[in-house]
Amino acid sequence: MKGGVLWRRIVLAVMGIYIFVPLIGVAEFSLRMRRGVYSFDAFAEVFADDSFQSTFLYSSALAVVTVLIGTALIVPAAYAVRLYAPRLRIVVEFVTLLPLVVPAIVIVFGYLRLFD
Amino acid sequence: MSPARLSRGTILAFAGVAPFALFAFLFLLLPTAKLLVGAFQDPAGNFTLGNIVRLFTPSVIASFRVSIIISGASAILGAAVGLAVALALRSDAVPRVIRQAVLTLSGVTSNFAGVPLAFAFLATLGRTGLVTALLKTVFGIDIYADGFNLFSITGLTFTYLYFQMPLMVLVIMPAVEGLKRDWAEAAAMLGASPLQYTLRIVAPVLAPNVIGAALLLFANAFGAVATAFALTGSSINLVTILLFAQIRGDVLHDPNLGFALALGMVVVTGLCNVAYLRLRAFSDRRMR
Repeated sequence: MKGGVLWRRIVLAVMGIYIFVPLIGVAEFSLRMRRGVYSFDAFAEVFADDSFQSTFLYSSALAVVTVLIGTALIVPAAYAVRLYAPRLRIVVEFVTLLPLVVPAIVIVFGYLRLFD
Repeated sequence: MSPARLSRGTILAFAGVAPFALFAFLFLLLPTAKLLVGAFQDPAGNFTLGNIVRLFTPSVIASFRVSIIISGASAILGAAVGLAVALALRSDAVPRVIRQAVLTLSGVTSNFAGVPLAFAFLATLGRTGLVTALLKTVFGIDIYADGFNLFSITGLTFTYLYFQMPLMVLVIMPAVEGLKRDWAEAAAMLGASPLQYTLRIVAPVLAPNVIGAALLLFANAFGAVATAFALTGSSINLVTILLFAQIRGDVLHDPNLGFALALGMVVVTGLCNVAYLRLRAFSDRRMR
């Protein structure tokens, strides 16, 4: 099956280009703050900015907290269902699939109308 | 059952599942139920079908149409490329390291969406983007003069493809790996060409998985909002952007129409997911 090598390389190359070029694009763009020359000015400015530091910390803290809460809720549930309540499996699976069915923007709309 | 007869297993099962169940009820089931009920209520709380009827006004229908076009195009293209990549990875011709690298990269980039993705595409295919500039200076091709526009339906579809393709690779890979090597050998032994093997064996075996995965991609794009909003503001009228605007302020001048809009979206994504699960269950049974 030597003939299959070429198309495989082409397909993987296309995907690779599509994935990496926008990342290169945004990296290059970040160096273009000073007209005509590449510089790290944008990075220097961002890191010196207090509001960037606080929002960055806030986002990071939020991410860590959601991971911790998610783990604390899901691991015991999965463990308990697997060992002690196999009949609940189908219900738990349905519930865990709900976020796929209900888009985030829709659930946010629900929260606002419910809790606001 | 009296408390004395509760087994240790029952108590442990309850202790494990209860927090998850409470969370799911409060933050998943209750808001969803609220939407379903609200879609059939007038502002005073009386039952009405008026919200659903008003979904069929031209501006709402237009937003569903644009959402369906972008989601459909990015799902079909993403599914085609993702399937090709998954098939390409399933071979001894591809080193293990590359296979693993592509799968890991797919896991990361299928979650790369929203404002960062919009910015990456702006820096690449925007008017002064890297690729736009390279094409102009090196090849003399001005894609914007030739009709391309990143802030259009086409541009948004290309942007969505960035996370749709890797998602397809992840979703379809298990099915592609389920193709047994014996089948290829048996087909070759009986004199089938690679093309015949692909058309007569691979295509029918994978068809339910591919269609199901494409539906999942469709639902994924249909619910996306941040990428489109960051890229185009509200100039492209997607359902999610309409709902987002409704959340920020009552742009529809009709608070209950928002519920109906949300219900309409859940119906679309729900149908896609039900079809996906049924197709997957069908092919799981058949593969056994």
